[in-house]
Amino acid sequence: MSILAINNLSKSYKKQKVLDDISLTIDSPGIWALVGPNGVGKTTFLNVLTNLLPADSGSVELVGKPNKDYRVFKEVAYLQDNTVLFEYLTGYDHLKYVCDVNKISKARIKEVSEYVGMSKYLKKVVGNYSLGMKQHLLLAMAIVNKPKLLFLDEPLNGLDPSSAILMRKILLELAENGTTIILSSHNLAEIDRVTKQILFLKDKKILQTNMADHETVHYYFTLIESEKGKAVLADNGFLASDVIGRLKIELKEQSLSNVINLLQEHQIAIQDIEKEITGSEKLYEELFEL
Amino acid sequence: MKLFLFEMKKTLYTKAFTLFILLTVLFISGLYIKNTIQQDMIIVNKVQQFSEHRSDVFRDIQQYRHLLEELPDAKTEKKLQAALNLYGEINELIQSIQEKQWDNELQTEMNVYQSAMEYQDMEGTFDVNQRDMQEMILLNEELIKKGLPKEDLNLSIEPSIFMKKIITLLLNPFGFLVLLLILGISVTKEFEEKNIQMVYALPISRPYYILNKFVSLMSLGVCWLFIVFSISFLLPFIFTSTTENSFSYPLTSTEGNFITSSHYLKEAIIYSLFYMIFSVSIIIFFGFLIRNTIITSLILVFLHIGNFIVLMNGFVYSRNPLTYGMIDFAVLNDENQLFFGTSLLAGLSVLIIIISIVLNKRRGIR
Repeated sequence: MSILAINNLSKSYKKQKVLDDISLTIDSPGIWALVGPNGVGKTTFLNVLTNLLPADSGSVELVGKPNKDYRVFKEVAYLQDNTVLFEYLTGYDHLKYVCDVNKISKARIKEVSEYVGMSKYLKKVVGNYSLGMKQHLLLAMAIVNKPKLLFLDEPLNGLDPSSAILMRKILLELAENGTTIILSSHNLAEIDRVTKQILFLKDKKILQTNMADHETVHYYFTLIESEKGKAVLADNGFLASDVIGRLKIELKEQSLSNVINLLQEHQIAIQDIEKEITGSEKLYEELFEL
Repeated sequence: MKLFLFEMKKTLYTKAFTLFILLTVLFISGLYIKNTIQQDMIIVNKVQQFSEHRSDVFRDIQQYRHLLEELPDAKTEKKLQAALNLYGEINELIQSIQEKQWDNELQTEMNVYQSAMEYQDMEGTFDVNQRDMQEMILLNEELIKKGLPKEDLNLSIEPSIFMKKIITLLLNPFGFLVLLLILGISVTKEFEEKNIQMVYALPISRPYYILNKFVSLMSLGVCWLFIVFSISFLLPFIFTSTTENSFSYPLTSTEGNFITSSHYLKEAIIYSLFYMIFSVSIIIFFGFLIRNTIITSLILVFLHIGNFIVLMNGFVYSRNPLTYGMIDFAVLNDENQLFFGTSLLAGLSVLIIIISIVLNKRRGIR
């Protein structure tokens, strides 16, 4: 049984085709990032997958059932933008509603609100929530039924760094526990941190890419003698550039230990090393011809 | 049940409905206080009304005497005798009214109208048409038979008559319209504010959600009706010393037949309940179909105001379900049959809900 099976899916909106004959299958749990420029149809794609918008043609199966069957939402959840929340109700009201609909015990509300860190404002009216607080509530609502398949539309919107870290941690934990996650995001750096599996939405089609094939690894070295270090590395075939007082080195075939040994041989003290893996941004630039 | 309660909570938290309930209670209480204060006005008004008739008759008497002085004439003499007789009866009636002898008042009033009709036949002045006087005589006979005093239908604080007044003022196309606009917003706002997207991404079938919405809005509507009926009954029941047997007060139907006020109230309650069901099904239909507050509200306004104009111009068809939106009219109209009316409203409600479900079954959020 596929977790997600899309067959020849097409959708037009106001006489303009948004999705054109898309087919995609996901068989094993993991995290997939849905990436594309604004207005390309990412939200429409997610809305069609969840049957909030009916497709013009094609079919979608979520966890083995057609998406037209409302019962799929017992095992599927969809985190949408915060406009879907009822401003005049509390966070507790929202979670209780989702629990009632899913026939889940109320004890789960406490559990999940603590997990996403929203216990303190659970009983406050949503109208008084900040953007980040709303995002926490949406996440709590999305995971309260322990879904097998989770769609997230811009889950990192409005999150401060600590909330973004928490969100990332939760997503990785969910994926580890067998949840398949499809998230749309503009934040390519965050995407690089949670997944290597990217679904680019371009020209009304989905391009599935594994970033492991495209990623580049950079190391930032903070040296006592930065100029000397740069010269030594250049002499030995490493491409190093200055980035705000640090040396940025791209390693392809070579290993990190080679660089460290080389610097130590020339008695250049290393103060700090930071690793950066990039790929989605570069590929994004290439794909969307920026 | 939990989802039904959640739907109720959503509508109540929007505050408009709560405010409407509060205004309804204030309106009924205000009218009761006004009527209580104006009880003396009932006597004053009656005395004034018959004093005017007396003045007219007195002017005629002076004229007849003047004519007889100039040229004695048997016909004028006969008119003078009739005028003097009527004048005396009006005096007696005014005295009965002032002394609050209601049984004597009823009998004397009948005598006055009887004499007035004869007097009108002699071309005497008495400014009430004969049909109204005949109806008045029949009503007085009925009241004497039942041993009840006559009530002022506008100023009475007898429970059943006060309730009738409230029914006339609130349970009409305007009253229903305001309620429906408030309830209708709770459907369309969910589409406009995108809350419906959250609901549609939960394991709830769309037919179930529509039915749930229908039942919760209907319950709120019935709750409003309950408040209207109970407050308008309780206020006079608690604070007014009511006449025994007051619920058998005779009310005149459109064809001039009598129905008791208890019968009137029973039918009014039944019609109100069924019309509420029908109205809410209309909200569900347009709310889920159009999904826009302004357009849905305009349609509701057009339907109700248009219906009011049609009814006021006498175009009454028992097959037009909107006819039953004017509850007082629906009960008192002899052409309306309770069973037919309620069956029509119930049948149409079921049909409208089924159509709403079918139209929305496969429809997305737009």
